[in-house]
Amino acid sequence: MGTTQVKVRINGVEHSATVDNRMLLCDFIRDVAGLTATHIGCMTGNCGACTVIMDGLTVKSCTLLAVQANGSEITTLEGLSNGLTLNPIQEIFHKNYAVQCGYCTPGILITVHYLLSNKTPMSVDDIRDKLSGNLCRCTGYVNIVKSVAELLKRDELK
Amino acid sequence: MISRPFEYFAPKTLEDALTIVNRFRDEAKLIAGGQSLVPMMNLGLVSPMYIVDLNKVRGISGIHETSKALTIGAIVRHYEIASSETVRSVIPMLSEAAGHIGDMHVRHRGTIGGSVCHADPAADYPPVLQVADAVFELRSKRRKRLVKAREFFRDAFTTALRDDEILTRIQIPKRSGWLNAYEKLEFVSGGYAVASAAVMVKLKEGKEIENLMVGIGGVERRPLFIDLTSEFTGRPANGGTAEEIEVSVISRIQNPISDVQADGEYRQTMAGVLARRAFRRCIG
Repeated sequence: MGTTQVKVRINGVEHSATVDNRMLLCDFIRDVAGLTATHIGCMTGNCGACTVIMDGLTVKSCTLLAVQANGSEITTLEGLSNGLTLNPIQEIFHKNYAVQCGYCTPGILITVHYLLSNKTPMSVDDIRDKLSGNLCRCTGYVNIVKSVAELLKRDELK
Repeated sequence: MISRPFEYFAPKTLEDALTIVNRFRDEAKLIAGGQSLVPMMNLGLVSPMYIVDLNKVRGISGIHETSKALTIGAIVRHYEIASSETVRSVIPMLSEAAGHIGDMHVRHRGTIGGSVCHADPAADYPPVLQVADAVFELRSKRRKRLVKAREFFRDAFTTALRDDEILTRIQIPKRSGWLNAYEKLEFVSGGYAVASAAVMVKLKEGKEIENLMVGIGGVERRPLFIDLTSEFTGRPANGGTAEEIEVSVISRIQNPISDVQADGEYRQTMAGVLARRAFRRCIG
């Protein structure tokens, strides 16, 4: 009892396995697909380190069972760059030193990618509100919010 | 993997889902968004034998408007409610409440049906749905019954839903000429309500109160519904009345919750303050 065949497309690559029903989506991503940029922090849906995009929406992958993601399309941080060079979001985070220990960073980068792809104008308050599901216990968010504001401004100029 | 092993079902029809819950009763747990259930399983607080996933069930999603009511499917997600123009125009306090739940990621996944059936005392929807006089459609293999939101919430995490039933739809009657607003106190962004207030008021010629109802969340073990109509009929819609509403709401609270977030007296006081603020926003 208790196993199900699960097929998920992660960053365009299909991953298929028979998994324990109790396996969480974050564990599927890390242990089955071997993509370890997605971090596991709290396991209670609070910290947002495990944020991924599932079928176009950000979700916290520790609050989903892997079986619930069957048939879905997922983007993790690995899907945002080629692994050799930094993507534009990572570059600005790097320039502004918008990380310290880096544990929360994958979830924040995925969230920022989602926000930018929505192309909705955001004030600094909006940015803070949208990022409130991603906890960073090091930096105090100043450089993170600054980086997102810069990215938005750059997109506007385009 | 932390939780104990369980059997997983993802039925595609309500009939199939009802057959499964009818068979396993309280050993089965329904999952929709899972934003409370999965964390609780991860913490070892619940260990269901059977999980019935409602996400693929047809006919229990979508927001529909008729001339008389707004109907919201049980698996409609918080972000859909918060961003729905229909909801905003029919009952703005419901979109406000939905937008206050958790954070963006949680709102992408969590559902209205899941939230009301979980019945956390600090949840955002219950006081709003009570004030709006929402009706919950509960289906079992044998029958369908309609239960008013005002009778659904029995205690903390306890509702009128029986172990062979599934909440399928929430109906909210449309009422013209009513004003409404929702106010919430949270200590951190995305936090549960320390206290919250939903206020719905009908004014006569825009000047005096004809009807007044208040819902309070986060303060007692279940959401409070307070009908202040008889006390406030004919009173002017102004700041002075708002202050009297605050006092009246505070006096109606009997057993406020004390916990690490806030003690009971503070919650009770803030419930009144939030009701006052919501009323003031209603009257503009």
